[in-house]
Amino acid sequence: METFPRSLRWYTAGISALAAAAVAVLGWRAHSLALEATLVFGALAVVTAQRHVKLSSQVNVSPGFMVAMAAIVAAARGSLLGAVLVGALTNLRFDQFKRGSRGWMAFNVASAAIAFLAAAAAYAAWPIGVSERMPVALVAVVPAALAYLATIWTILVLSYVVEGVHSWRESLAELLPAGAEVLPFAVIGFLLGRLYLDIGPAAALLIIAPMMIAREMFASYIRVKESHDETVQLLIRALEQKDPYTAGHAERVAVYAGYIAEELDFMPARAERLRFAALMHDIGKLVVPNQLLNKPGKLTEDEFLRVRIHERVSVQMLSQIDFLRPIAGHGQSDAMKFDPDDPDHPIEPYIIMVADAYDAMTSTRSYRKALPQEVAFQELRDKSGTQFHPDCAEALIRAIEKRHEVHGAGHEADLHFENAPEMGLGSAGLGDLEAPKPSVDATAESGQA
Amino acid sequence: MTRLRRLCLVGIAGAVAGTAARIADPSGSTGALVFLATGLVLGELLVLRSENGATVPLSYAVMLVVASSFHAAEFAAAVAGAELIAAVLWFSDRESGSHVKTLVLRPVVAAATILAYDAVQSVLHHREQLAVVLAALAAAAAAQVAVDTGARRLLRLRLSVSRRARLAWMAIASSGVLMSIGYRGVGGEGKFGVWGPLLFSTPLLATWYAFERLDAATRAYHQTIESLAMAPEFGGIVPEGHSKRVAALSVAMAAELGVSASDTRDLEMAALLHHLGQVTLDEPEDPAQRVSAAEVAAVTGEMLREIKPLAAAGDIVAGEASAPRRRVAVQILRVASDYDDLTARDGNLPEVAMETLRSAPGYVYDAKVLSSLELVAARAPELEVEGADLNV
Repeated sequence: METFPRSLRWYTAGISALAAAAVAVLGWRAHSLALEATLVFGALAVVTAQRHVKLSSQVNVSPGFMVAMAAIVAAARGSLLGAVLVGALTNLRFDQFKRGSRGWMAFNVASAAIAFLAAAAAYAAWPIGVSERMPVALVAVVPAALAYLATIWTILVLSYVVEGVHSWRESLAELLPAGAEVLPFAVIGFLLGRLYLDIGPAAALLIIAPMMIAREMFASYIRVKESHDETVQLLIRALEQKDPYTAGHAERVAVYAGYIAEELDFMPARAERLRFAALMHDIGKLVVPNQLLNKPGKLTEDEFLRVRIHERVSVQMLSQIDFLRPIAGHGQSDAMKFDPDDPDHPIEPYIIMVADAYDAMTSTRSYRKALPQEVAFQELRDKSGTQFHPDCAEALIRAIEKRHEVHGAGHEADLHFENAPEMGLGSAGLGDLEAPKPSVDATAESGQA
Repeated sequence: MTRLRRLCLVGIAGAVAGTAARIADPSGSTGALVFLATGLVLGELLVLRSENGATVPLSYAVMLVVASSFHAAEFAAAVAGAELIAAVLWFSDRESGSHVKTLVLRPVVAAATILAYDAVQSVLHHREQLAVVLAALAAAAAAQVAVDTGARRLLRLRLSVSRRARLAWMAIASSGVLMSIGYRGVGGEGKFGVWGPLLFSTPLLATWYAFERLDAATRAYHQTIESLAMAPEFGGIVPEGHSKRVAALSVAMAAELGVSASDTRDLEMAALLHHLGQVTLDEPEDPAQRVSAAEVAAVTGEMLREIKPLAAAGDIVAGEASAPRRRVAVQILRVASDYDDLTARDGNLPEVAMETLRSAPGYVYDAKVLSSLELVAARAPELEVEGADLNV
């Protein structure tokens, strides 16, 4: 977990003091605490705070907001204090008690308390309430949800500005997508609160069961996904043990493929599938004997055919994996060329082909040194529309230039063999293997990775 | 037709039919029944899937709503209509094998649901007390579990009692109870009408989505392992299907010996990948020479141990397990792999292979593990598994 920054100490002290003052004032003026509701939802809030799941950088699954919203409704406008306490508890994470994280705990608890105070006040002030008929009653959650969002965003944006990591515009742009998850949780929280008023604490138990089960399944999903990622590393290590020249090749191809996917506006799930396919594109090389993979210089015709088998093996092995089959089925083959007359051909194999070729050209191989980036770009442009998909080639060049990255001769990230023999242009490892010429030709430029 | 299209089609048709029914009969409950029947059809298309493919449909949750709020005749009509539409959608999918059995299963579960609900209500009299309503709904949900499980055994449909399956049933039951109370209320309070089941189904839909993601990720993970396991077969190092056969044998033997579920999973991974390291070794100069099994085990074990989720499998492959339960797994893998070598690679009959293993010195193979192999081999003398298509 990230250590709490020093620059936020005074800011956190300020919002904590504000939250404490609000609790003190409300406690002094409160006619009732709505004790039962506060206890029931407070307990639920503490439980849900410990069972938080981060699905991605932008999506959190946290039933805490739902619980706090239910507490606001269940307090039936009688107790802002109960809502504030439950709201604060939704952010009380025990793992943040440890040294270095307590600042975050104070920051999160205080900001939640203030934001839920705003939500409870908005709910209490709104004329449409819990007793309205459905679906009109649902409108009651809108001001509460908006008040919560406006308050929490203000607190967070100011914290970013105080910390000096983002401007307020950048901060807001980062926070806005997360707002989409608030309204659905607010609606369920509203219904839970209303049901609580009718049937008591049983309502809370009934709704929390499927929420917690969903959370467990999401957590299992993330664990399996991590295991899958690590297992792909197994393949990569096996490949690197066979052919040390290609160390880091699969990861770099995946990175370049990701650049192209970003330029082509791929959705996250599609980009993820492409990343896996890129990481595994050389899986068939596992069956090629090490002696052939590491042979410096030209392959004989027999050796060439033996190496070539890896393409079909790759296709067959990737076809075993359901989510990669649409890509593998269209032949992630090194012999594949761009075919403008086949509009049904998925673009992913073309993306991997461009990424593979670019990385092979800008990396040192057993048969030649890395080429300069300009030569690699020129090669991509020259063969754009014939060998390479023009959109993919242009997207990669654009993405690399945008990032001011330099690859190739002298700039390789993992240079393993500085004294590799210069054997001519060669190519993308196995990326664009060309069959050896039948006649003896000392300047032939075929090779392998 | 894709599932999304089916769901949209059913949802739109149901909404139109329900609205029409409500306009035709504004004070009656026909409109609500049509909406809930639509929910039943949608629930048939969305299922919670366990590791072995056994499913629990979300329609069971909607069944609780209809059973607790309508007369038996209305309940029967809604369930029959919904199942009929679901059947049409299933059979258009051409995967009708298990659907015929499902068509038998659903009415039985539906009957058990309403009978259990009515029975508790009749016995406890105070029909509109919260405790009675909750008890009746809990009994109906329990009847669903019992009857579904029993009927699946009889009909030889896939059945799971894993933790994931238990969680699926809990999600269906708790959501069904919540949706029911949301629809009908208790003692005239908390009545949301069709909005109740509609909105209270959200946590269940989140659960369904989580199950789907987990199922897809688990499948992709296993397929990646199986794909890697095929590399030694493509490389001509082991006979076609060796890894999968050894994995199947190992899992069956582990079940005989009472190995825990998590150790069995590690053993299965170890069995699938136990030759992977060999593809990283240089080919011997002399083709007649073989790389030693110990070297392959050491290299493979080392590779697997570097990957956290496969570290335990690495220990099993390397034969370096200190805990007694792991030593059993090491023995199982050794016996299963050697048995497959003797039968599939060397062409021996199962009895001959068994005899060869039995006649080895006592320290080579564990007697209990050999006995478990004997039992498994007698039950399924030839384990049919799909291997690599080596004609590439």
